[in-house]
Amino acid sequence: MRTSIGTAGVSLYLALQLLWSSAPRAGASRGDTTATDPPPAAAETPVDTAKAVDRFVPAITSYVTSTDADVSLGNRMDIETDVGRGWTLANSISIDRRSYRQRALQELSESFTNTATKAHPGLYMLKLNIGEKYRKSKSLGLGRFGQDIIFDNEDAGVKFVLTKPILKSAASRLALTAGARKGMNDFKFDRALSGSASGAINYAFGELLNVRGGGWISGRRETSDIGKARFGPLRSNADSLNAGLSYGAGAKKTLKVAYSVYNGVDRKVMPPLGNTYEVLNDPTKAKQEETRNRLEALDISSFLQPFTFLLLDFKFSHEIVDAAYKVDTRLSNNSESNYLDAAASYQYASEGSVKFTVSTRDDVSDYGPVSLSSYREREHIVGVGLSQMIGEPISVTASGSGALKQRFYLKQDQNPRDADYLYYRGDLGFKATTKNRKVSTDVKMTVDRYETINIDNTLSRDNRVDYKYQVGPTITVGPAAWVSISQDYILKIEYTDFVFTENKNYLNRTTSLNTRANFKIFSALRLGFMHGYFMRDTGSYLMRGAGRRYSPTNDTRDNTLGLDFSYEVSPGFDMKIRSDFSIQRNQVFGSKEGRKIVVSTSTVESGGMRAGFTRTKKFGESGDINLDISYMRYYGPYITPENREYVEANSTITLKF
Amino acid sequence: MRRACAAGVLILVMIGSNGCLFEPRTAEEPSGTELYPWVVPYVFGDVLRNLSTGLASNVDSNYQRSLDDAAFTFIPTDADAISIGPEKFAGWNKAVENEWLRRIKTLYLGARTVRFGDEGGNFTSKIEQTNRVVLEGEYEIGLEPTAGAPKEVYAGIARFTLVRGTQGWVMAEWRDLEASGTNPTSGYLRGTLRQ
Repeated sequence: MRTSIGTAGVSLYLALQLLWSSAPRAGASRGDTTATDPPPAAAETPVDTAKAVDRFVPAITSYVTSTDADVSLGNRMDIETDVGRGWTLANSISIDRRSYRQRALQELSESFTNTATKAHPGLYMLKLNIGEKYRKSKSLGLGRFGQDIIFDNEDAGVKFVLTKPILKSAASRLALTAGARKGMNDFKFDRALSGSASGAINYAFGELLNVRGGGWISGRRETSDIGKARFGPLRSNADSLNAGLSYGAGAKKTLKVAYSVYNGVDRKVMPPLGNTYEVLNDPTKAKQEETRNRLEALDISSFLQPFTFLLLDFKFSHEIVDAAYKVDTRLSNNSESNYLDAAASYQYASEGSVKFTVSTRDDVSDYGPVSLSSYREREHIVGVGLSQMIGEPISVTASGSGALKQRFYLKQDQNPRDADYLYYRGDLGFKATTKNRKVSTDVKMTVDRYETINIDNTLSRDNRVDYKYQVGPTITVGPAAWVSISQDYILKIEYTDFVFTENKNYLNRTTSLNTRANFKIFSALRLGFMHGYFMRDTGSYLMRGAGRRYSPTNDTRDNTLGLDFSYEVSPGFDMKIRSDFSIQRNQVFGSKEGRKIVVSTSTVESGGMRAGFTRTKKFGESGDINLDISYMRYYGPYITPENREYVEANSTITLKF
Repeated sequence: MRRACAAGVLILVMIGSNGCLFEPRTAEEPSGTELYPWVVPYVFGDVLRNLSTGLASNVDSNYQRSLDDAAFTFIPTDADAISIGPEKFAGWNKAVENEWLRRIKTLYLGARTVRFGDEGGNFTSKIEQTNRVVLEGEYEIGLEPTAGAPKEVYAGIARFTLVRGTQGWVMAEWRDLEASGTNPTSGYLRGTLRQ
């Protein structure tokens, strides 16, 4: 931390020196311009003049966040300095302390970053950075209970980007980066050096054809100390190549092709089985993991509009992912995926259109020759959607889709888990508004059917169909400008139908009705009233005698009343009070001598109140205050003392100098 | 308008054409008996029991039905995220958990057990609300690669959030907090087996 503070002090000193001398230097630099120097762009002069006012901009932000789970206090200071000649310095320091309400636990985070950037638009950008991040928290683990877990890293880096187009290209970007990092990461102390080089180039042929290509290489050298044991240096590297072309105008090109390939080796020291406690006791148990990754991807897409009323979309992708782990071998896998998607949108009239989609996918996931988990999966999806306006105030939308997913395990004899999944869904929506806009209605209906088909007889007793039906009409009435009343109703029925084991079948019905009334009494005073009714019953749906009978086993009814009050004291200053009250009645049913009886009844009353204010105020360019503070109080069973009464806050104060 | 109706009919035909659009394979008649019955989760403790039997059983439904369809997620410890890579835990939802479960059942063919809470089933912290329960405490997963083979143990301290959804109680979040003793955590098991 001291190193960073020292560096920040030097950079701040330099910034102030440059700041005070910037005006004469700026004048001199303009006067020094020779005939060989490129003339400054016309837009640069007014920008420089404008920035002269804000060459040194410190900003301080303090915040408090309080929720039912934790309280955070933090402070952040940012200083931006335009030192002239294209150089900008950015310094930032922040500290955050979080305390948890339910546990004796605190977390402390500090970060400190300094960045110096020199940008020459259209030519290059140079960026230097140095910083430190620190985080401390307490461990709850049985092996390390009460101990500090500390992450404390210092890093420095440099990045140079050449943005001037090269080799007669339309655009190009060449970048070099280098970085160093050292610090404590819980159980180990790491030192690392890294670097990368990348390039991308883009050629345009006319206005329609665009060709691009690029690549990058990177490397890292890391040493890790755990206690007195040293691991490394561990070398990692990666490289990537990509190429692509596009043909066509606009955002959606007629044809787009993209190909990329990535190869990498990553080496690092990790605790055995991810458990830090064990490696702290015995550092020799640390594992030196080596991961070899390869990724290859090809994407082709096409978009055509042969007629104004017809749109055609086509996509194809092919991807190969290969990850090989040296120690944690079960992380290794190899997968290959092919995906094809086609869509056609047909506008059959000015008020209506229909869209058809078809897609298919074929994946292979291979976990090695001895694994029983390897499988192949195929999926086919078909969908159709319709949108129709019936006059201006009425619209109808409908859509349906079906999908079949089939999984084939490569070692079916030893692992008979082959399964098919069949899915259908339908949606219907209806919206209408009266001509005077005082009454509007919105109705949504959904039907879902999801079937799980295990093929082998050892698993087929689990075969089932999950059904879901939902209807949700909403009506809103606004008889006068100062009042609006809305009511929404949702009826949802869900049930699971086991194909072979009917004794598992059961059904859930959920019905809810919400009524809301909002009154705008004065321009500053608003009052909202809400009543909610919620009913849910659950029961078995078994074959008895002549047919299936529904036997309810559980019934819940909940009535909730809510009141919202808000008053705008002045622009940016609002007072708000919200309260709600809920009565829930639960009944459990049973049977006695063949008749349904109520076995138990319970009633739960609960509620809460929130009273507070929000205050927002801007001080021109000098900063702003955002306060949102509320007193919360809840009552009802099962509420811990910490959650019964507390203050909720989300407030920030920002000052710029 | 007639064309719109025709398109609508086409949609309805497609939705209604159960089994016509696709031809799945035919399942064999089941053999053997069900050793792990489903417990309708009227109380939150039933979720833990169904998860336990769902892991032990060769069939998956008890485990799968105990997870919240929309909200289920797993969050690893910081140490696991660094060790295995945050990308291995990104977007962990019910579908990812189901795939992980299938992989577990292809790798560990012997006994599979999971214990929530300490050996007495107790948790160090329990926050109960009407439709939400947060449990914090130990867990232990025991897996035998083959029947009778030495058991691999994955253990730690975790926070389990259970909610009462439309199908009874389900688990909405499993958040690993710490390792326990020298055992690897469930995060290590999940991250290393994610497909």
